[in-house]
Amino acid sequence: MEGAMFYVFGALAVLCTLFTITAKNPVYSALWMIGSFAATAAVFVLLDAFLIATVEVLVYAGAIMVLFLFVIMLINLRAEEQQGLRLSPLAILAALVFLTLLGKAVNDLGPAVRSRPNDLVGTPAALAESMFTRYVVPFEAVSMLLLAAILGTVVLSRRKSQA
Amino acid sequence: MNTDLIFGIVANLAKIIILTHTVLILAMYMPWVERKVSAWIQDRVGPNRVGYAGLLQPIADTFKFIFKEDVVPGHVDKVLYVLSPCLAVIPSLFILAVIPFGPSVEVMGRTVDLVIADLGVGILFVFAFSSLAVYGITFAGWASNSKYPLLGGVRSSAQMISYEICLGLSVVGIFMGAESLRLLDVVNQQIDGTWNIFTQPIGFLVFVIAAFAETNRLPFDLPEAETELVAGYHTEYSSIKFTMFFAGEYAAMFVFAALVTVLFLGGWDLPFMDSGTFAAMGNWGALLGFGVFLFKSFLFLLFYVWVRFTLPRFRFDQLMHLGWKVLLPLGLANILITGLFNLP
Repeated sequence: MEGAMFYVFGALAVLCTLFTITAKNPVYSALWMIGSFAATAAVFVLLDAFLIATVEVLVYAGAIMVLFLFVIMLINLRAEEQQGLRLSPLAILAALVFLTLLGKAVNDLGPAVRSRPNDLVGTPAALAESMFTRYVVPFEAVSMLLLAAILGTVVLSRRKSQA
Repeated sequence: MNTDLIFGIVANLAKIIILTHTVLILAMYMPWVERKVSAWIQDRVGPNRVGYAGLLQPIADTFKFIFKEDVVPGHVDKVLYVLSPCLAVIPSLFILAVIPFGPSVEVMGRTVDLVIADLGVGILFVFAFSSLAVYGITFAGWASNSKYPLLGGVRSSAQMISYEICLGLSVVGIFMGAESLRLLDVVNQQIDGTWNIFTQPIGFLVFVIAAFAETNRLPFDLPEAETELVAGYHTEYSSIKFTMFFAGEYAAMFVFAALVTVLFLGGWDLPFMDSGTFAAMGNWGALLGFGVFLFKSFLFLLFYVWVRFTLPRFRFDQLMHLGWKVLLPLGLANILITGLFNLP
């Protein structure tokens, strides 16, 4: 049963992602991308990772895609609508390189990572525990990196508007 | 099939039917309540023609909406235009699944918790789906393909993003106290202790203000703003599709009223009772608890109406200022203060 559900939601995620990049209208691309995030969240639920699934919907489908839509609607991308998917040789090359790297990375992870996570990964307490004990330095480093990115954006946009 | 599984399915179906119908009937009668209360506030009579005190008015209105011609303007994006009203209703009904609405009942020797899905990540589930609620409005604004709805949609997306953060921050203090994200744990902690409104007054204030913004109610109804945007995102909608937006708004209001009840007002707790008294009363205790829960939610719904006819609408820059420069620091300060008080 769970195996069948995995294939249903996995196929849904792949299909939605395909429609995301082939849709002619950027708003529809955003809509399909939301669908793709939802399907990915469903796959996480099948792995008992409820926290990750909820955060996937909350952060990606709920917050980041709203920002995407906000920008799309604000600058009104009508010109793009007619062109649809353009495949430049460079893009195909980049995609192939990325796929190879991804395949290599997944292959190198070994069986331990590819198997089901243990029951505790999905709970907030377990995640918080590992985040604030074992991985506290990487966690803080990532926070600093994000903060730097935010500050950089503010500084860059300010300089432009003053000039 | 074993009997436990069948019992579980039947019990869950019963809970779903009871809760969704309570909400949908409330959503149907809230416009009547709103019109009556606004009439009292403004010293008018309000609806009084259909049935006693206008009580049949919602039913007459519903029939009117259903039988009206369903106009789909020629310039709209058909798919999204039809999809948006559905997207406006669905997230609120999803959130109902994790809201506990009464103490547990005993049926055929089994204990049933009065919550549809008792998730360990309860409150995050609520925020995940309340963050999806914006799409109904945003897509409606875009699909209508005319200027006022588009402005309403853009405003809505900016407003929701800003106030979602405050909403999330405002409840962190509660979960620091309850040491759990499960809503049932939060209620049980309040029943045997003090209500969170007394221990988390700042959190309560921020949550209530953000809840008004998330449900697009006055003074935060900028996506609709009939004085400047005609009717905002639903300008191009008529008939049953318009009704869906209406129902979605009232369903969302009930969901947030229920959340305030569960998070801050002690759920189904009465001041002179504790979990033992409810358990001693058996199933009557559960019924009483459900009644108390509905009553508190309804009081908060009345508060929504009261505020609507008391306060004027914000300007958009004021809205952003309040969200980012007042509520966000308040929410962060609340977490810090709660942390200091709860030091081990």
